[in-house]
Amino acid sequence: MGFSISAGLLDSMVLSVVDREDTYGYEITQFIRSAVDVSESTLYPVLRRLQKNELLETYDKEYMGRNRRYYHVTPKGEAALEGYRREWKKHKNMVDSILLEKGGENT
Amino acid sequence: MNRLEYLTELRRRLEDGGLAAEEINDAMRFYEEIFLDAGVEHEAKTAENLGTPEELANKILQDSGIHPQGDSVFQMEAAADPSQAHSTDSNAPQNSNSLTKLLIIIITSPIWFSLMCALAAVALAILCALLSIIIAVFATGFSLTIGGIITLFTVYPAGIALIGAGLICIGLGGMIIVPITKGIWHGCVSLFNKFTNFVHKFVSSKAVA
Repeated sequence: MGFSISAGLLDSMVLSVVDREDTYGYEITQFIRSAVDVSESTLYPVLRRLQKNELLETYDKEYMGRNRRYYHVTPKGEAALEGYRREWKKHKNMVDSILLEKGGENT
Repeated sequence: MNRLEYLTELRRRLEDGGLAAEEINDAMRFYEEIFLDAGVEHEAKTAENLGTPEELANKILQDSGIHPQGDSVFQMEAAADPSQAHSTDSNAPQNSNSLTKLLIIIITSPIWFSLMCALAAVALAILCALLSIIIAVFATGFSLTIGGIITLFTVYPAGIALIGAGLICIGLGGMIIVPITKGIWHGCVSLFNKFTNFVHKFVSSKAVA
């Protein structure tokens, strides 16, 4: 893919994945990787950052005799995700208005 | 590279990089789960996706604000490559250094050897004292008991009392002999181990220093 994915975009994508339902590290990485080409090692710092900023929280759930770490979006994370989505729509329209010659005012 | 090899190497590199234990555990937890959830049969593929443990460790360290490109890595790489002229250069002074240390040990031997002999003598004296106490307690116990049995026929209550006192002594001796001998045995063994470890460390540190 020729377009780079910024840190902010990754943050919002991970938030959005976890927002659908609580999930665990491997599933998050697989989900994001199905859309954009990023490695697990890129997503680990994203998850850590989101936890540190209290947008995500974790809990352990037993699975096949071991504990799996599940991620859950906090209320603060929900609010941040709303903001990200608004911003993305604006950003997308702006890029579309030029790249797809749609004209920014109409959308 | 399988999961265990990969994760062991990763942990080692993170520890060498000076990452906080909590952050190491967090990262190890995450990547271990990635391996486990990707499936045992895909371990090699997962390892391939993650890059080498070195690359991954460097990335984690960088993300935590540690720059693995700094001196420590350079030194590690230099040490890992013995063909480099730099390391062969530094070998010669190391050898002569250990030789002088060995000489110092030999020259100072009259001092530390006599000190060690004195220490050993003190230890032996303590050992003998403890043993003689035990023997004395037993001897007292036996003689009191035998004396008591003899006295039993002349002064009945005194005989009973003497036998009682004798049995108490034997009992006490029995109580102290087990822990004391055990303690002495363990003490000797651990002292010997410590001494050999110390010598081993001393000698091997010489080879490295």
